[in-house]
Amino acid sequence: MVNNNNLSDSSVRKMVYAALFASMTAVGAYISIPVGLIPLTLQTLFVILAGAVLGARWGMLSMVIYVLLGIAGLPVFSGGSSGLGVLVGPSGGYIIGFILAALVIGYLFEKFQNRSIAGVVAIFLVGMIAIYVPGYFQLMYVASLGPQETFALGVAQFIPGAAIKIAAATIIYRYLKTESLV
Amino acid sequence: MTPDYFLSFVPGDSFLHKLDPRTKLIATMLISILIFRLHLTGLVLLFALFMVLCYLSSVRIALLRNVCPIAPFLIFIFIFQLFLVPGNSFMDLYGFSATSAGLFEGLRIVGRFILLIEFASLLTATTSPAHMTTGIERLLRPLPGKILGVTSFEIATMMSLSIHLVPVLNRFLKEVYQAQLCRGLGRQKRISGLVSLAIPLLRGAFRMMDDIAMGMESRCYQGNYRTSLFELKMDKYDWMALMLVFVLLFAFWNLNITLLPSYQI
Repeated sequence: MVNNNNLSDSSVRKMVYAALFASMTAVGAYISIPVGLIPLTLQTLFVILAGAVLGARWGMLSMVIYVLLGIAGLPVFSGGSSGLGVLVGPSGGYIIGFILAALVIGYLFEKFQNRSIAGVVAIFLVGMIAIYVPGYFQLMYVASLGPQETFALGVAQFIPGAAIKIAAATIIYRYLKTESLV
Repeated sequence: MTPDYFLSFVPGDSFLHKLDPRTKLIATMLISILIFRLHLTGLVLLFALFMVLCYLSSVRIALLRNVCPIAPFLIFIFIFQLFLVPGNSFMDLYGFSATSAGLFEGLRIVGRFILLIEFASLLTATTSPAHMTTGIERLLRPLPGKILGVTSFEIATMMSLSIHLVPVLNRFLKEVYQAQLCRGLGRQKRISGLVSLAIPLLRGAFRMMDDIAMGMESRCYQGNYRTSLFELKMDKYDWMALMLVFVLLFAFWNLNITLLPSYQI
């Protein structure tokens, strides 16, 4: 946790950082970087970083807060949508996967304290899989699609962007580590 | 970039605006359950109910926007259903057969999603985020704190803080984004492009959060029970609305009219 002001760890600070990552996940959904053919957004990048920076419990809580923001009416889901309807719709599984991914990444980061760059990449990869598995199954269920159609529509097209974001998250996390921000 | 209708709340003074947010939250969840239960006939009736509620609350214009983001998804799903469900074919196209069963199944699924989005949009259009946060906090209050490790008051605080942070971070991210564009962001590789956006945002945000945490602690914030300047109160209209939703749920639960042979719409 952040100690650069030499303040003691407190639940208020953890709470504030959880709120921050919820907001940044929301804001990251709006920015699309103009590189290549794939429109990259920062949304899942901050989901991964929430787990890495905050740990399992507060990382998961930040994603729960993000979901509650969407329920409350802020247009924080993909494309500026919001509301309970999105959660039970075709893309709701990914949003549930955000909670699971932050939990999994945070748990693995707490369990394996000394990790190399390859270890960090592996943990982020597990987290990214944790996003797309619920997305895949919910899309298959609510849209009554077959396994192959679901994979093509809901998973395959996101793989290149996910790889780029895992690499970026690794670089960012190493930077935060060296700067003693986490 | 950012939608100009950032908050989907539409100020008003209608019946729906005055209902307690807990009533509207529970009603929307129950209607969502009902939507998954119904077939096409029931969905049409629910759509009629939605139009009535829209008229009562006077928030018709803003509601259509929320369907646009998932329109490509819906189109794909409809096409898949149309051409892949086996049955009586009424049209052939490039070797694929469009079937009437697929048509009805596609209409049902797409109609289901549109209704889910629209009822949720009606909820958010008639309830301000502050009221929604308060309502969610009250609904979560019975949960014991051990489940997530935080009280519902802390969840409400985090939600309120996030709501206020989103515009601030969005403006901050825009500034970083445009500054990096001036420095030739588009010509960089993708990974360094992401990094050059995320790292300044994170550093600035962390600095801001440390200030906020210090300010909250200086003002004696604790996660325990807190009083509120505005308290929620359920009155008779709220109970009547909830009762109406339950009646609707039970009445529609088994509505499956057989109109054409071998499947129900």
